[in-house]
Amino acid sequence: MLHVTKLRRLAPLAVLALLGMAACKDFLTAGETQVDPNRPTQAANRLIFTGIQSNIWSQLGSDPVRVSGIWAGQFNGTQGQYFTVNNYGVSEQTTNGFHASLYAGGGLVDIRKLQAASIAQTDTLMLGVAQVQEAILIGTGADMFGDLVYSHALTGEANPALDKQMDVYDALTETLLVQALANLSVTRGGTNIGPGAADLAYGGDPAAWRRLAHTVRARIYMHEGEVRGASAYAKALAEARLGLTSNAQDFVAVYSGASLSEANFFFQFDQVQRFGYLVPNLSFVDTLQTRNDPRLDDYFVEDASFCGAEFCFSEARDAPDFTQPLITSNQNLLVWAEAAYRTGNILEAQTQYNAERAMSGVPANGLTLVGDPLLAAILGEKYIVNFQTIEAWNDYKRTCYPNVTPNVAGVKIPARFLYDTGERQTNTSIPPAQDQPTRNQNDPPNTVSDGQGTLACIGQ
Amino acid sequence: MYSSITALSTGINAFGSGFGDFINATQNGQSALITSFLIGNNALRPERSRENEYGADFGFFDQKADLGLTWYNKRSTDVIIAVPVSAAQTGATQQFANAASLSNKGVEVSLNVRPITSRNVAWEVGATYGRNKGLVNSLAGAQFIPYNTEGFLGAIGSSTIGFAPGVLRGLDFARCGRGLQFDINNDNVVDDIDALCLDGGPFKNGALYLGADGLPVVDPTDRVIADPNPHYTMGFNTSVKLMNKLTLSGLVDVRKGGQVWDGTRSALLNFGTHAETLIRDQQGQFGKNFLTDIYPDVAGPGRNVVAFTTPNDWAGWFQGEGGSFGQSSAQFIEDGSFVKLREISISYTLDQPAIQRLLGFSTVDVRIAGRNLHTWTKYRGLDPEANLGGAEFLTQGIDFFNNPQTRSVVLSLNFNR
Repeated sequence: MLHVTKLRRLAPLAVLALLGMAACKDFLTAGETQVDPNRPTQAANRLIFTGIQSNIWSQLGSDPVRVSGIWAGQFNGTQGQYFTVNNYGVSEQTTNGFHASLYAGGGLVDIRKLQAASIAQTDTLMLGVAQVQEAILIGTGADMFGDLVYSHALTGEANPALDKQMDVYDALTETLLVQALANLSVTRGGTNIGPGAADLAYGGDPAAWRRLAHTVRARIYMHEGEVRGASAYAKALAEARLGLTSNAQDFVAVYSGASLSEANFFFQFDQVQRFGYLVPNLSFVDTLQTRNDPRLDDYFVEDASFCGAEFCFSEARDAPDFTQPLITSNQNLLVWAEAAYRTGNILEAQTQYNAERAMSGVPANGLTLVGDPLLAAILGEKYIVNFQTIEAWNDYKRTCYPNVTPNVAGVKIPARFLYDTGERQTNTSIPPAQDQPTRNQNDPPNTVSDGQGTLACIGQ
Repeated sequence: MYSSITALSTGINAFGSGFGDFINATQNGQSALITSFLIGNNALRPERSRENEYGADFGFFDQKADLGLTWYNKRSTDVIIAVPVSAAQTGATQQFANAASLSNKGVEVSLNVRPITSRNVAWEVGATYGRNKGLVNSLAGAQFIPYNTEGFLGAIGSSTIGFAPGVLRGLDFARCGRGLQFDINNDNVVDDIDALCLDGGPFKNGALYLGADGLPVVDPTDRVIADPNPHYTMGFNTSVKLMNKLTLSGLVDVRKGGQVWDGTRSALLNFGTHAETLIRDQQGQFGKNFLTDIYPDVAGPGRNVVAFTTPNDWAGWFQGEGGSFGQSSAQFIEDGSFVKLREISISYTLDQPAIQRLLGFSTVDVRIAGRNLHTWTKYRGLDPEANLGGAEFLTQGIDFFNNPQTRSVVLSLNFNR
């Protein structure tokens, strides 16, 4: 009896203890832990747009451009990690986090948020702009890495599978950009406002974004050309005709230069962070000198105090507020010219080639060039206008023009980036570095250098 | 805090590269918000750990000897860490998770013997032995979790399943007998390294593969390259006290095992200021007179090839794959075993009546002690004990221009009233 009494007395305590345990169970997830007063969880469309815009500036203006430019023979990496890159040492660190940037903050996750919000708010222009942003980002990712997680991206499924590179390109050109062009054709007004002033390249101008969409589409078709041949070039031609045609239409990164966090990437890298790591490749400088090309002074300066080498990047381009061209009308005109040549439209090829030269202040070459010399002239011109963009390397991989001699004897020029460590270790669909392919699906090795008859390709 | 929620970030220096060229998400007066790279986890549970510890102390021969034994086994589960997540899956790069299950087992033994305890002579000898074996049992599906915010790319600390916490991961040069298959020269043909190793004769497992130019090639396989945790540590101490006035004592520390990444050497090689770069005036050949302690055996077509003949050859090597910016960190991993003469001291107590009379103190103790007087080690850097981040750092075994422990001689006087 005594024992029972004792237990009865303890019963209320036991109930309290049980309540305590129940309360403890979700002490990490309940109530105030779910709301952080200092961090927002929702944002207006234009705020998200600007974040994506900055990511694109970085993706098209920072490390991938420098590394691929070294491989394309336009830059030399002379110190530090770039010395290794210059000798074609490629590791999972070489991507420097740019694979993750395709998907994480400012990447696809925010693009999808912006698209969903644009649909909810019936802002069709913003939706179209966000779709072009997606095509630029994912298209560049497919250029660098080849096969990419895309159709399974951000679905939440574990170990999302890779799509073949060509399937990614197709999804962008045949679906996404088609939708983007339709959405960008809706008249502005009402809820349909687009990015407006947040769009530092175009001020939200739908026509400008349509031209950019056509140019991006043409560019991707060109990247397919080595494998798909004339059909891809024909599509590229049709799109390039609708793309960027004057420098006022260029897609650019507009840096205020007011602080380092708003300064041009080449300025930050060359003049602030890594003086002397990256210098012009002298054979590229030679090419411009031989041509007596006016872009020599735009790109370079013969002043060692700028980088420690004989030639350095020009003061104007290594300035904190230099407006960096990312996707240009010069490139588009030459895509137009090359695509026309590849599909047998020689007069159109000559015309666009000369139109681009006129824009760059180079004398016209008349309409005399035909055959291989015309192709070589177009590709040579293109190599120059692709300066400081990833297209220099993309074009080299496709055409082997110019016929770059590798920096290391017996080694070929790197033709893709390795997926970064973080993704490989968290997604079993990504093969380990040693099992990844040497070249992407769109890019079998070239046997000859395009436009030069039977001249063997050295670097592929 | 708030590790359970996913919020937006203002994206300060969010975009750019590891070289320090960064821009904010906000540009040119246009504000921005982006999804945070570290996302929350709504299913976090508390961490738990369980420890069993058993100990015993024994005294022998009328307290002339004592022995202490301790055995412990600690197991932690649901350890909360920010783990890398698939960006393609989640749109973020890190997430808090109950990700790790770890165990720590070890023994500690101490033995003290006092052979002489007479009035005028007291002699004591002691020894300690400690051994800890950590093991990462599971990592919520991941094979390893790098400690990305610490240490160096290429020699990054990690928790890797099947290893002790803190093992370093990185790349090595291609070795024979590992079954490696990769494209050595970007020519779109996968090379069978073991088959290439046979060029020139049979090879020993683990031999360094040398190409026709006599140089190794980087193996792109990310692997565990070093374990900074020692196999065991020991300490020996002794002291002799004579006439209750003069005391002599000594302390020796021993560490067996514990590998160190000698980043200091790698950087000095790159700059050409390390004594080992004096080899530039000689010819150099792997397996013969260069890096033979780390890569004693070589194989492949370059096994008898002189790789370096001119100072320029050496400079190219040290500024490239043979220095701090090379990809192979394994070449700078060294055994950090050591024996250290930690301290020798002598002290004397002055208690003559004259002291009392002249100074007004009853006794004065005079002590001279030398600390860290000598280190016996094969480690090539300054100090195998040095570590970049200090003891609270998860990643140990990183030597990168950190100060070695100082050698000091201390004279102390104690005045007792």
